[in-house]
Amino acid sequence: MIKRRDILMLGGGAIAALPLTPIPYKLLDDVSIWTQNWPWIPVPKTGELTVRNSVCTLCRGGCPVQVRCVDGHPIGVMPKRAGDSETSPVCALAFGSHQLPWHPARLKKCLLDGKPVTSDAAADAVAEACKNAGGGSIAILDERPGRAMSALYKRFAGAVKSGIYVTPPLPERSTLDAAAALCGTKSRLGFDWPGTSTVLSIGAPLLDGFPGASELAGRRARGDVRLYHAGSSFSRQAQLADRFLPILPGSEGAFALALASVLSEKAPAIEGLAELRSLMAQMPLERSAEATGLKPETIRQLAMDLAAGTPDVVVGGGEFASGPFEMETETLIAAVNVLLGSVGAEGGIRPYAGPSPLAGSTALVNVPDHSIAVLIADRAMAGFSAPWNLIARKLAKDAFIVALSSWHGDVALRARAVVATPAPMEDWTESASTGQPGYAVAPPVLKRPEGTLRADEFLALAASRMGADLAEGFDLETAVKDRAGEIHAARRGIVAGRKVIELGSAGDVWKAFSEGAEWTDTEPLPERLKARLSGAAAVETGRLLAALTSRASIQPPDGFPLALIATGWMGEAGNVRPPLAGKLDKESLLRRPAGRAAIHPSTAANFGIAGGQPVPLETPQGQRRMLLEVDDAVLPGVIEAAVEASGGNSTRDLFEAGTDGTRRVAWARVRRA
Amino acid sequence: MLAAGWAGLPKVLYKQRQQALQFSHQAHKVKAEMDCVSCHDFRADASYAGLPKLEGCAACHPEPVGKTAAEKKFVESHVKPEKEVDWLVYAKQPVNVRFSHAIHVKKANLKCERCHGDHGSTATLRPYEYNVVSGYSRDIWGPSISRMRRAVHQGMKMDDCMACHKEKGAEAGCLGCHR
Repeated sequence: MIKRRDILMLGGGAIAALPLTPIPYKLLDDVSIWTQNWPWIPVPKTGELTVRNSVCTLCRGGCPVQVRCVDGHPIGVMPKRAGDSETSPVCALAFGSHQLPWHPARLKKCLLDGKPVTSDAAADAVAEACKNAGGGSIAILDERPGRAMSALYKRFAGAVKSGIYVTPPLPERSTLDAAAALCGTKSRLGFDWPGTSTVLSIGAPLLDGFPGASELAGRRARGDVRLYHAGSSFSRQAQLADRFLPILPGSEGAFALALASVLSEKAPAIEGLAELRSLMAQMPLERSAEATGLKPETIRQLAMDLAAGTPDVVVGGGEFASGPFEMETETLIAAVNVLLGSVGAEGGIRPYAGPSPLAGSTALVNVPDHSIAVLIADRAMAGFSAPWNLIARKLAKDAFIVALSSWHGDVALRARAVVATPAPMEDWTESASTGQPGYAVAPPVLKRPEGTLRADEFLALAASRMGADLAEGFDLETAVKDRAGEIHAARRGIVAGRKVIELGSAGDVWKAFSEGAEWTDTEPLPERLKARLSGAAAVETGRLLAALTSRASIQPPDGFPLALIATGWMGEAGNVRPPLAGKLDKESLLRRPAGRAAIHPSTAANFGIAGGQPVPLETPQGQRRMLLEVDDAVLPGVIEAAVEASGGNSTRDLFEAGTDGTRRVAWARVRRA
Repeated sequence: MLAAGWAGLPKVLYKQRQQALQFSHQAHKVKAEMDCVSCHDFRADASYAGLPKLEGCAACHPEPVGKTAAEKKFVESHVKPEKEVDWLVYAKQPVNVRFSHAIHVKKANLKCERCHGDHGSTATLRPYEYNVVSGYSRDIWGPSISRMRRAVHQGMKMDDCMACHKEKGAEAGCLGCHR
């Protein structure tokens, strides 16, 4: 007979034996897996795995990528293989770009005064605003010039009354433009990345969104190129460089002059060298080195390494958030290139065929202040977006702002009308290199949502309401085919690994584009650039000196003791990031997320503030609340503020933009909240 | 309790399903002198093509070439009506895993047997066993409920992948395998 004692012993024994069996451990494992596979959790599609060539169009870098699809649905993005074993890296934003069509800020309907409307209603409103523009201009701002879409923007601007096609300052072109001015050439200059073996970047994020970044990063990873970086922030570029030289904020011009001083000692006879030497006599190496915070020997060693490391090139332009530099600084950086023999030489700055990407445009800085009555802005994927305070001063009172955007961020937040455009992968998007001539098309992979329409479709709609004649063929597909025809007719460069000259027709080029190929002009012009230094103009020499001396004796205004440096990644519409990039930024601190500022421990001690607390960051332009971090990678006396896009209430508005569209050193203070 | 735990748990936890069709890897390997990639091939871009499609089988078997009932059934039920075989995949990984055969076979030069054991030499297809709680194939955990004293190919859990990667010094990172 079973007694109560037997039952208790059985139960006790079973409990005691349970841990000695696999039951708890195995069930724990299985149940945890089961909880990851509940039926309402979406699962990736299954089906045939295919890979499509494409290009990332999220910034002006234009990195070649491959989109991995399952059953035709994109599930991942990876760098495009450049050969059998060569891969050029891409950034975290590109890696997660297939997630962006589902971003919470995604727009799938047009907005008018913040309310969803049909595209017809939005077009009516924009047409009405254009008709009522009065004496003001109707400006279409294109922050990614050089595309086939840009050609359509120009046509629209030409067809409407008082229309102007406007482009922003392009940091990636500033050294090239300065070099063109020095040489007196009208040709389009570009960096010859495939031929260079040493690169000195002065503030420029060459591996981080700069046109040609992918190729340069790939060459660097393979040990084919050495990279030196001089800047005031321990940026991603600085971290990835072979040598980093921290220089004081605003001393880039002095740094370039110090380099030029050393290089000019053994320079051959070059036109304008005498003027440059006279400038150096007023500001010798020791003084310019002092302005940078570096020792003269350090600069001398760098100059010698550069001279020995040819072919090489020096690139300015500044960071996305804090560039471009003033033209005087860029002129000196171009002068260093001349002294190195890099202008017109293989691996340096070379002339290419074709018009400048800015041809036919009005520079934003040249637009009269308060003159724009209607602004149509295409800048959602600008990468290096222009600061809002530069745009704002061009707007007339009560200007009507139209944003062409796939996401509700950046300028869409302050626009009266927002045109919901297809996201990348949902329609044709393009990348046109603004440096060395290059062009690529990202073919659609997904069906675009109803309610979205491309910029060209919207402009055609608005033009018809206004009675403007855009003529036949005003659509992107035709424009891309036209571009393919131009490339074929020019018979230059490479498409999909084949020389254009080998392709039978423009249709072959178009077919290659529709399959995600990119075109690069690999054939510099035979034109001999006349290397000279700042010309013989005494005016220019004086201007350079004035700029330099102002930088050398730069003093903070009363009450604002910290030099403020803007850092950040201006890709996408403000804070629109794929989850992968957001996770890496916030959890792994790949980049300092927007809204955070950092100071050196010694600076924090001087101010008596600790990290981890919100602080008001003030400049003469205004105040923003930031979360403060203490980071010994920040230079003493400097505060680095991570900024977002400038269409909203942005930290970037704390910086003063010069009338020439360049940034000025900002001075700031923080205090305990 | 010990007996129930060790002997009874696997019986309760795993259910069996028969394959829709029998298939002899051995016959194809020995008689037809085929190797794994003859059917489990790689595309021109080096990506793995997955399980063989019916058209590949039909190229050799438009009519039965042997005398087995399984082959006859295959030709009648699948080849002629052009109906794909719904194979149950022993090594099927969860949907959040992206495994590249190309990298492991072509780049790391791993033999198929390293992960699949002698499956490529078997004369019959064993029943497919799946976990009633997680739904995963039993091959993921491995045949031994304790996961002790296993052969190197027995088990395809993340720990097994990581152990091999550690042994080979191959860095993959999270996104190397997970999507």
